[in-house]
Amino acid sequence: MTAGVRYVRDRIAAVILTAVLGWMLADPDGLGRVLHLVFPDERVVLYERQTLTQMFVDHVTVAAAASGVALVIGGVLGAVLLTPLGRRFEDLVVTIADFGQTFPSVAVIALVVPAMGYGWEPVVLALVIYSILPIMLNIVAGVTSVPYDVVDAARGMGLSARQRFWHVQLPLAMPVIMGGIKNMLIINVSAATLGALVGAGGLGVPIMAGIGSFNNALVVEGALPAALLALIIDQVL
Amino acid sequence: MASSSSGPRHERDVNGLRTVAVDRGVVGTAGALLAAAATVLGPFVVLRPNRVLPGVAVRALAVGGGRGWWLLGGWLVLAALSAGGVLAARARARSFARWGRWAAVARGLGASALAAAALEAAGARAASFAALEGPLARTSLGGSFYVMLFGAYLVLFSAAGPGEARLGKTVAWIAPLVATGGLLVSGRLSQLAVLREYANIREAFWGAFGQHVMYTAGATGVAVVLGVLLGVWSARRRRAESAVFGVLNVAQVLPTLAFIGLLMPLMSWMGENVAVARAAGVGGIGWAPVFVVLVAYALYPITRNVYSAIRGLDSGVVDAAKGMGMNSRQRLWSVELPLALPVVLAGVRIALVQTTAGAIIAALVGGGGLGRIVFYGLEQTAEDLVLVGVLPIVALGLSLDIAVRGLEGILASAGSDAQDAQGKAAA
Repeated sequence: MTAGVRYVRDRIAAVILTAVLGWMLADPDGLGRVLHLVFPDERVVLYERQTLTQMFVDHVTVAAAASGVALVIGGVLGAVLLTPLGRRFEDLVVTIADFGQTFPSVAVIALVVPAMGYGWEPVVLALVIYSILPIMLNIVAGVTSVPYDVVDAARGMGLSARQRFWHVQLPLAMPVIMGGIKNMLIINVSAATLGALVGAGGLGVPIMAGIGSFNNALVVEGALPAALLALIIDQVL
Repeated sequence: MASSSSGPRHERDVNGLRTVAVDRGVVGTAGALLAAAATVLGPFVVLRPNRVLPGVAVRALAVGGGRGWWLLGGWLVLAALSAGGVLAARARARSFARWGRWAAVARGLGASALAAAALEAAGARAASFAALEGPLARTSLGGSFYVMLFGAYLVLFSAAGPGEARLGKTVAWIAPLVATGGLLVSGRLSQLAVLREYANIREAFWGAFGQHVMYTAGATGVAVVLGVLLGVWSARRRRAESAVFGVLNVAQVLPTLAFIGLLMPLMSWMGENVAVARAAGVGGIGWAPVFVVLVAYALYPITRNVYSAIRGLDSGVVDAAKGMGMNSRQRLWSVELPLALPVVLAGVRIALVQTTAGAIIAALVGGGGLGRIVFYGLEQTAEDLVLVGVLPIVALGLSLDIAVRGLEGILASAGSDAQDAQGKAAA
């Protein structure tokens, strides 16, 4: 399959997924009828205490807030790591980041909550902590992946170090950096479903309610939009 | 994500080595000073008469028995030693290499000893508090204890980071383990809140630990078999490649809880209508949906590595095997897969670490595992109970990571030895 065909296919998939998600949010009655058809035994098929739209907005807010803060902090720290002095401590940061990978994101939430109490704040904090290192490392990996010859050619053309960074290294590093941002967004959308455990709301609320009452319709009401959201981010970015 | 870069430091010139020694010394000094500051500032332990009452924070210098002052002195000495290393490396380009190794060993031993002493001090404070308040007393480790631990980690890194001498590395890995193990066995830590919570649920803990290991081993095991099949298949057929990776990518992107949630209706249907599934205990709630999700996540790194390892093989090797009259299956088993093994193992390692962390979710849908303890602790807002669940998960993930990395190293060096031998035979 050529890259062009794949691009078109991904865009079409993204449009379809977005349309389904939009319909779920815009037409609760229709969604209820469909869930009744699929789960005829369940009396309740939609979560009753909050609308799906409210929970979706909560979910996106938590994920977006955490991603935004992590992007700013990770970006600054990544820039520090790119300075000649920072480069000398890169292997330390990589080692710590590898260690961080063995830590489940739920565990970070579970450890922050006893200190901060229930609510969205501990979830955002946990997600920020969890996202900073990957963002940082992707910036460094992106910039260092730019071939030396290219940078050298730019130097030969008389570009200063700053110009080389802004006009050559950074643009060429963007695909890797964007890949890191995409990964972070997907991880945060996923981890935000766990916010329901600690009172942060979001699409995990109906999932957990459904699990607690053995009601698969509620589980699907939360799981489907969360899955669609992650898939759309994956297709669009 | 970037993997750790263990550059060939030893191939660099003396100046390069010296820069590394300076950097490492700076990291070590910073770590020791951070730890020293943590003895003076912040809560080292938090004392609560019981789990619910608010706690009283105690600084390290105030833990009693003069232990805090010994810690402070120890960290300052270690900082001076590291700083001396920096100066020596700057001043004496050649001879530092000879004793720099011993300085690293000393730093590793010193940091391990001081971290152990900090743990012992916390344990002693917990014991005297428990003697005063009785069995409900809870002594938790406070923020500055963890800061001190991080400082110790920085010093250990300065002694055992990528490219340091093997002796320093061995010491820096083994000494903290021996010290912590010894303290745990001696019972000096038994009044710390984490260990009190553990003692309360000892049997449930080991049951949950066993289940967790089963998830990790089972899901990765299934993923290895399927991943090798899918990887080989997609390496040989272009059409298979885009289909396989398309599906695996979707699975990789789905949020864990949503993925489990979407499988639950399917699994409960299977549990009700398929006899085999019912017999195996498959249902919407329980191990089945979690297991499928863990396998799906683990498949991606394994399949990708099998695929790229086979694709990346030197075409000359494959041609030579063809020339020797091997058929496609013989080539796969005796040439392609053995050569691909180190890369495949790296995929298995990622899958193991990922599955160990991911299996925590099982508890949310009644699937057991260490997550049960974590979520139970979360309900009770008992941080120490959460730690009883989290620490073994992290320890398990780290040990698997280190073990498989070691295996990769052995295989890679065996592979290059074999190639050297071949080269000599050819000459």
